[in-house]
Amino acid sequence: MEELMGILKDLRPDVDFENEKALVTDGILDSFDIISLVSTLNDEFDITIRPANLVPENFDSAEAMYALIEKLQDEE
Amino acid sequence: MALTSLPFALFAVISGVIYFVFPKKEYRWVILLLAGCFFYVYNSFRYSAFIIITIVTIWLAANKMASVSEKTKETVKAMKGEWTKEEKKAYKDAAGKKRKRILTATLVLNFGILFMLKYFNFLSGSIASIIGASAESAPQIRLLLPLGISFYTFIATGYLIDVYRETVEPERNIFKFALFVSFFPQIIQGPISSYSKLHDQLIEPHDPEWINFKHGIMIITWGLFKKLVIADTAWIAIKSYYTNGGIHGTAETEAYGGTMVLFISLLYALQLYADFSGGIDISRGICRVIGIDLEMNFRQPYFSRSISEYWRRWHITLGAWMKNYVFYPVAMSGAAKRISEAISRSSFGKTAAGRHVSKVFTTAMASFIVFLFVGIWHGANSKYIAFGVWNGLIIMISALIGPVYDKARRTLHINAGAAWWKLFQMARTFLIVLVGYVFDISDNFTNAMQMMRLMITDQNTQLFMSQLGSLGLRKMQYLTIAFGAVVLLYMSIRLEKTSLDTPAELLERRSGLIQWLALLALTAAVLLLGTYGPAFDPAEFIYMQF
Repeated sequence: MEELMGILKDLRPDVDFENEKALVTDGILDSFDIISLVSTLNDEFDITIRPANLVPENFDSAEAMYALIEKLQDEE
Repeated sequence: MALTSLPFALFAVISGVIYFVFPKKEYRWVILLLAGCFFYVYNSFRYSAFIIITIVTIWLAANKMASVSEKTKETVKAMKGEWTKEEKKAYKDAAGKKRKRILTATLVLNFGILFMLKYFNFLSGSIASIIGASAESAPQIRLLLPLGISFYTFIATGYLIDVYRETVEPERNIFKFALFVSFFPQIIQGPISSYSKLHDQLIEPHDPEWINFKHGIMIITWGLFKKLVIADTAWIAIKSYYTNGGIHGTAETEAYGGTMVLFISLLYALQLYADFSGGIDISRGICRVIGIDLEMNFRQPYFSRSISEYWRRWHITLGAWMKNYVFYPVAMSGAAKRISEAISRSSFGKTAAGRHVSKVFTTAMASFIVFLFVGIWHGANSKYIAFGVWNGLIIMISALIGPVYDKARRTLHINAGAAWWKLFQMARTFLIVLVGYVFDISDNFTNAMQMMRLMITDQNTQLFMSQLGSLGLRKMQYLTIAFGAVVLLYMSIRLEKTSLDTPAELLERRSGLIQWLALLALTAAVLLLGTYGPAFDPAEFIYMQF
């Protein structure tokens, strides 16, 4: 989780990732951020995030992203 | 049967009444399906076969993909312990390939139909002129377009891709699926609804509720105001600009100057927004009366501060479709990854600028491709492709030079939160949008270039004033458009500040009296100031009663 927080802070230092719960739904992260984030997460956590995973529920909060990462790691 | 016509109003009312009085609640959705069938056959009887092909093929493909998935899971479960990891993977891969083949074939078929009907003539003409034959001698398909084909094809294929990605369960009942694809309030001009947001709402029965009725009527009237008072009145002037030969004139009329081109472009920006968003309001209002929430398609787009924001606020559902089904797959593809890796390995990739470029280049390319599609989606003409390329280029360049831009702003000590800076960004974005609209208005790419040159080099107010009379509008109608624009601007500012969706929610905060007065005033404006077909005099309509 700490590693993920570090990645998120690097990506968008202006966003409060601890408390935001609607990052995608409210348009705080745009599609460019998402693509950049996905490629970093893929490399750092050795997973393959697919377009099908890019639903708001998976990216609206740091916890949701973490849950997705764990799920994908289990599948690998 | 246009959205603003009396027959359509009658049809919508009758459908709504039957829907609510139908005693078997669990079958109320059938009423919506029958209404959709009637509407489609009434408007586009000759081409009904196309929408049926789309419904049947996509329904079959979605269910086939789902059964392949199910069978795979069952087999893998049954063979647990007997198969090695490799055997399991090979089996799963084969099933995945099968699903992909079904998806590809169905997409090719459906987009193939859309492409043939919409673009065949354009392509055939272009190829003929490239090889030196006359465009007239090129083979042409003589067909009108099936009603709503661009919309329903996107709605249905979006669902199919969702099923492929296993983010939604397939609909087993073909009639329920047919309702989703052919739902009448959205078939003419969208929104391009996503299955997960609309389908269940269509199937579950709704009872009449006063608040839905009140809001629905308010939203419909607001839509009629935008369409009939603003858009249809402004359209008279835009049409006259065309019939009078635009910047070239005709044998009888003189050519229009640069100031007129600017005026027509601004009028077009107003007309297009009022027309499109007004139509969507009417559709959303009808759905609200029934108790169905249709997705928002516009959120004050002209207040956007960047072009990418504009496309998140204008025709929102098309943007979302493109993002989910074109942008993400392209930006996340293996090819995109290889390109960005190649950039970061190069000597340029080791510099600070290179690192940024390697990160955003493929994303920028993907959005360029999206906008190329958006342009093509709008119609078969070089000007629409130019319109797409223009938007795509702006977004691509702003992504690539983003850091430079931010640095310049900081060096100049400009506070990004300052009101004047935000206004400047809005004005700049609107200007870029306006350039796109010039492509839209023009006859073709060359004409668009000439129009833009005139706007810059040929500003002449005197000529403009003398030509204003030739646009077919009376003084009262100019005042009507101005009045409509002011009301629209006021409402847009209020909605923007409150983050509410529609004037109905805005009025909900006021007393009952104010709500009634607002509805009455809006209705009066629609009846008195609206444009109703050629040579219609609203005064006549009222005086007929006496």
